[in-house]
Amino acid sequence: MKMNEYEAVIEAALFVAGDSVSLSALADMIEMDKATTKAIVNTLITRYANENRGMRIIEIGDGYQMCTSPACFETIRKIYKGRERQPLTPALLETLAIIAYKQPVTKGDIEDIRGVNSDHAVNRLVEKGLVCEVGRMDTPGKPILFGTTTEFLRYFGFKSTEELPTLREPEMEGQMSIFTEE
Amino acid sequence: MENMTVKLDSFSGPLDLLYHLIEKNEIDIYDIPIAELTDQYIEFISREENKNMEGMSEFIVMAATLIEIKSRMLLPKPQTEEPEEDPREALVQKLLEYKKFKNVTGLLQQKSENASKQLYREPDIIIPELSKREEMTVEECLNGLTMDDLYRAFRDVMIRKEKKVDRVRSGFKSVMHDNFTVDEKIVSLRGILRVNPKVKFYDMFSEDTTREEILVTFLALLELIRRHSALVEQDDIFGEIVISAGENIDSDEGGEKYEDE
Repeated sequence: MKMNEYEAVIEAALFVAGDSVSLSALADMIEMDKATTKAIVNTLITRYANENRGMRIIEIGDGYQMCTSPACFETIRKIYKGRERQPLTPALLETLAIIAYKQPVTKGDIEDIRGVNSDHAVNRLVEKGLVCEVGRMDTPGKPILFGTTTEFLRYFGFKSTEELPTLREPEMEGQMSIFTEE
Repeated sequence: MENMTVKLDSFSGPLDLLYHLIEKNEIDIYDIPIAELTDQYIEFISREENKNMEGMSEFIVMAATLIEIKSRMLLPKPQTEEPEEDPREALVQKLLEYKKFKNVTGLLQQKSENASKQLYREPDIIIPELSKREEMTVEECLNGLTMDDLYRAFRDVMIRKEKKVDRVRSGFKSVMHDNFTVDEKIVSLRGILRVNPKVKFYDMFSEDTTREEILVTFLALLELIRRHSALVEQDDIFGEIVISAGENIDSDEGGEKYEDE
């Protein structure tokens, strides 16, 4: 197989998957080592971006997924009758932030920080597939530990949780400054 | 009066509300005027119209905490060498920790808005079909199989089957339904005795009567004897049992039930 043939099959595989495909699965598919596969995917990613195509390939978790270019969004939404995404409520967002930064974390820890019962918020986030059970803490009662999912990465456009913005201590110089970023 | 329009609902919890008040009044968080803040906080929650316990309880707990801190600050400090811990310290730490996460939510919100402009497709239904084609043919499956392998596989299956049998449960028998009840037999025996004052026990049965029916009839007979509704005579051991009506045969109508214990 020539290089551009590898690109073609990876492109086809990512298209048909409709989900993220792990690097190792792609490597197995084309019978190449991971480093080479990664290089091939990266060539594809660059090609898509440079040619301003309507499709993009993004890195997500330990794999890749195909999606549309954000530049096309406003135009294609005219025919895209998909569900408009409901923004997360402040309560859900702050709960999700705590889980994302503190994971793996128990509901008790979340409630400690929020100072409010968080059953509902955590359940809603689980329903939305943004967080999931990642294990149990080895303490009395074996409380469930929560962590974020691949859907969480997709939802916020992160490659991995390492891309989360750094938490900053609130500024406390006499008065509060309203949060400013970007 | 902008805060008249602010509802408790718009805060995700007591810490959120407290922070709102601190920001609004430009309070130095490291030196909170606790009395003033407590008053404002309590005023705020008491203005809330929708006072359902579920939503309010946590806000009320915070009000109690504030009052506790306030009262502890009013108490005269004991004369000790050790520096006294500020009663506000724990609350301030909680507020700061909470705010750290609250602060980042704006940025996360923005990130999610950007990310929502990338659309994804659902997995194609053809995918499971594609992987199905890789099923082995029978020849491939049997390739390189020896008689010995077959024997071993068979033996393993038999051993597994043996292990599966639950020794206790497999000894259980099913419980048969009672075809005859003593109560029914009592009624029919009484009927017979009213018509025929003397009956021989074995005359009541035919050739194909089951042992169960004979037993139940015998029990019914014993019951009738107990109630003095029947009398029995037997001239010698294993001899014919002759049944005759007893003194209570007529008064026993629809009487007590036979308790089968």
